[in-house]
Amino acid sequence: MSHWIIAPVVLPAILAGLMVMLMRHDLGLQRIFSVAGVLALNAIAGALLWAATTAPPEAYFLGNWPAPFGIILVLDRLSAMMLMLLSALALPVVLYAIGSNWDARGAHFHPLMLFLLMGIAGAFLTGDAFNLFVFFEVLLIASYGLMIHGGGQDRTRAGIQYIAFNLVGSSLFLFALATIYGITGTLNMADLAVKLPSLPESETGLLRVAAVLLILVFAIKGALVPLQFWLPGTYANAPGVVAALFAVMTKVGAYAIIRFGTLVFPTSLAATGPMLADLLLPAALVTLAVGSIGVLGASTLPRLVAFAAIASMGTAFIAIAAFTPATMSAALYYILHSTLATALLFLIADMVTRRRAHASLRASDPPIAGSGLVAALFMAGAVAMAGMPPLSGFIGKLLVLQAWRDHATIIWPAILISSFLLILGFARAGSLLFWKAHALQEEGEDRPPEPLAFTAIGAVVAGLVALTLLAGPVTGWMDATAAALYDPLPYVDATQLYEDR
Amino acid sequence: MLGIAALVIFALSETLLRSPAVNSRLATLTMEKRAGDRHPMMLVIGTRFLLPVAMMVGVYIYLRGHNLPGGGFVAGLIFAIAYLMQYMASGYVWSYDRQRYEHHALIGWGVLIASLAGVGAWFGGLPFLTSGYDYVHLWPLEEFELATAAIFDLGVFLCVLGAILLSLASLSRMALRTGETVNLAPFDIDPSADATTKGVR
Repeated sequence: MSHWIIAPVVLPAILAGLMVMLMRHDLGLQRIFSVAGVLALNAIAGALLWAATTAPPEAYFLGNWPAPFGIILVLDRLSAMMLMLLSALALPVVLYAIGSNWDARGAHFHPLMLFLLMGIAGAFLTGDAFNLFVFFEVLLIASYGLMIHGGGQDRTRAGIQYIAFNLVGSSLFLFALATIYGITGTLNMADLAVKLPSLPESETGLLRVAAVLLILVFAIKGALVPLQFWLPGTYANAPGVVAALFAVMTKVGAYAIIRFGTLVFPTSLAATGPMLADLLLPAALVTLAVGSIGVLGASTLPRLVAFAAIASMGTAFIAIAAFTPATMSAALYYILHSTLATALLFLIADMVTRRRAHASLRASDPPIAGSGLVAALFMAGAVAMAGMPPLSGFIGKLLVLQAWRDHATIIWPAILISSFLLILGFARAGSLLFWKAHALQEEGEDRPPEPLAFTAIGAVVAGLVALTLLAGPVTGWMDATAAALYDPLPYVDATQLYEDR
Repeated sequence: MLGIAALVIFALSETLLRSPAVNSRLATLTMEKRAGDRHPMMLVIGTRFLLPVAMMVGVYIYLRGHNLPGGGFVAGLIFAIAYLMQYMASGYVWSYDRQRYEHHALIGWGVLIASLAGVGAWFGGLPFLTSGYDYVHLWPLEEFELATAAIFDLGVFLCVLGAILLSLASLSRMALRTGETVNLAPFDIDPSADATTKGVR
C-alpha cells in the first residue's frame, strides 16, 4: 500500500502548523517553505497521477480500519487529475502572491493557503461522504480567512455574505448526509453505490430528497444559477490572488457532482434515474446565460472575470449534465481549461486593478505601467475564456458541442451565443483599459516591475498552451477516465468492502 | 481534523482586526459604564481555587477519552473554561500577563503533534493514524491501556485550547481598541493596601 495517498493532506497541515508555530513573524521563511511545500505537492500529485493512470483505483485506510467503519481515501484517475490541477495551479498562485506582495498585507496568508490546499486535496481524495463534508469545512474555513485577507470595508462585507451563504450550504449538506445515513446506514461512497440499487421501494422518496439536497449543496459550491449569488461579490472583492486559487474551489462542486452522479446516483439507479440530469441541464443553461450577460454588464474588471467564471461553470455543467462517458470526457477537459483560464484572468485583473488603484471599468485613467505586456496577457486570457482559437478554450467548447451534437437545437445556440457575448464583453473591457487610456495620456505612471508576478502569469499561460498542444493525449486520457467513472467496480473493489462476504 | 479546522477561525478575527475600517469603526463605539467592582474579591479567590481543580478535571477527561466519552477536544474546552474563569475574575490583561506561552504556538504544536502522531504509524508500515496500544502496569495503579491515539488527542487538545484562547484574545483586543480600561491588579479593591485608599478608585 502506498502511503503517498495521504501526503497531499498531511504535508500542507504539517507545513502550516510549523509556520504558525515557528515562523509567524518571518515572512521570508514562510515564503520559502510555502513554495517548497507547493513544489513537493506538485511532485506528489504527479506521482499519484502516474500511479492512478497505470494501476486500478487504490484505497487508503486511515487508522487501518476496514472500509465502511473507518475513513478511507480513494485515489482514482478523476481524483488524481483534480489533485494535479490543484497543485499545478497553486504554484503560480503562490509565486504571484509573493511577487505582488499580497501575502504581506495581512496575517497568515501562507498557512491559510496551505490549509485551503489541504481541504481541497482532501475533498478530491476522500471516499466517504461525511469526510467530504469535513474537508469542505476545512477548505471553507480557510477560504473565509483568505477571502478577507488584507481587510477593507467592501471585502469584509462580501466576506460576511460569503460566510453566511456557505453556512446555509453546510447545514443543508449535513441534512442530506443525515438523511442518506438514516436510509442506508452508511456514508461510504462505494458502499452507497452497492447498497442503493437494492433499496426498498418505500425509501426511494426520501433518497430523492437527499439527492436533491446534495446537488443543491454542490451547486452552491459550483455557482450554478440560482445559487450563484455569492460568487461575483466574493470573487470580485477577494484579493485577486485568492480569487485565482478559488477558481479551483468552484471545481470542487463540479467534481462532487461528477463523483456522485456517476458513482452514487448513476442514471441507472431506479430511485433517482435521470433526475440529476433533468435538474442540472436547465440550471446549467441559465448559468451560462447569466454569466455571459453579466460579463457584458460588469462594472469592474474583477466582476467581469467573476461572471466569466460563472459562464464557464455553466458550460462545464452542460457537459456534465448529459452523464454519458463521451460528454464526461469533454467536461473534464473543459474543467481543466476553465480553471486555468479563470485563474489567469483573475491574476491579470488583480495586476490591472493594483496599477490603476481602482477596479472600475472607466476610461478616465492614464495607461498602466507595462501596459503592453499586461494587455497581451489579458488578450491571451480573454481568447482562452471566450473559446476562440488558438487556445484550449476553443478545443474545450468544441468538445462540449460535439458531445451534444444529437441535441443541438438548444445547446449549440446557447454555447455559441454566450461565447459571442463573452468576446464582446472582453473586447469592451480590453479596449477601455488598454486603448482608450492611451488616447488620454501617453505616459503611464512608473511602477516597479514585478518579475515574479509576471512569471507566475506566464506560467498559467504556458499551462493553457500546453493544454492546447497536448489536447490529443489529454483527451485520450480523459476518455479513459470517463470510461472508468462509468465502470465503478474497480473503485468499489479498491475499498475491499465485500472481500470477506 | 476538526481541531485543525477550528484553528483557522482565529486568523479571521485577526485579519478583521488589522483592517483600518474596523479601527475607525471601533473608535466611535463607546463602552457602557462599568461598575466599580468588576473584579470582586470573592470571585477572584474562588476562581483561583477552581483553576487547578478544573485542570484536574480536564486531565481526567482527557485520559478517559480513549474508550469513554471525553478526550482531547473536550479536555481542551475544559482547560479553556478554566482560563476563561480567570479572565472573568481578574480581567484579560492581568491573566494574559501570567501566561507563559503563545496561543499561536499552542495551535502550531497541536497541529504538528497530531500530524506527526499520524505519520508515526508509517514507520510501523501501517496506514496514517493507525493506533498502536499496549497494556501497562504501573505500580500504584491498576493495569491500564496506553494507546498512541492519545498523542493525536494531545494535539487536538492543544489545538482546541489555543484556538479558543486566541479567539478570546482577539475579541478582547477589539474591546481594548474601543478605549476600555484595563486593570493590572487582580482585584478592584486590594484589602492589603493602605486603609485610607480602601474602596477608592
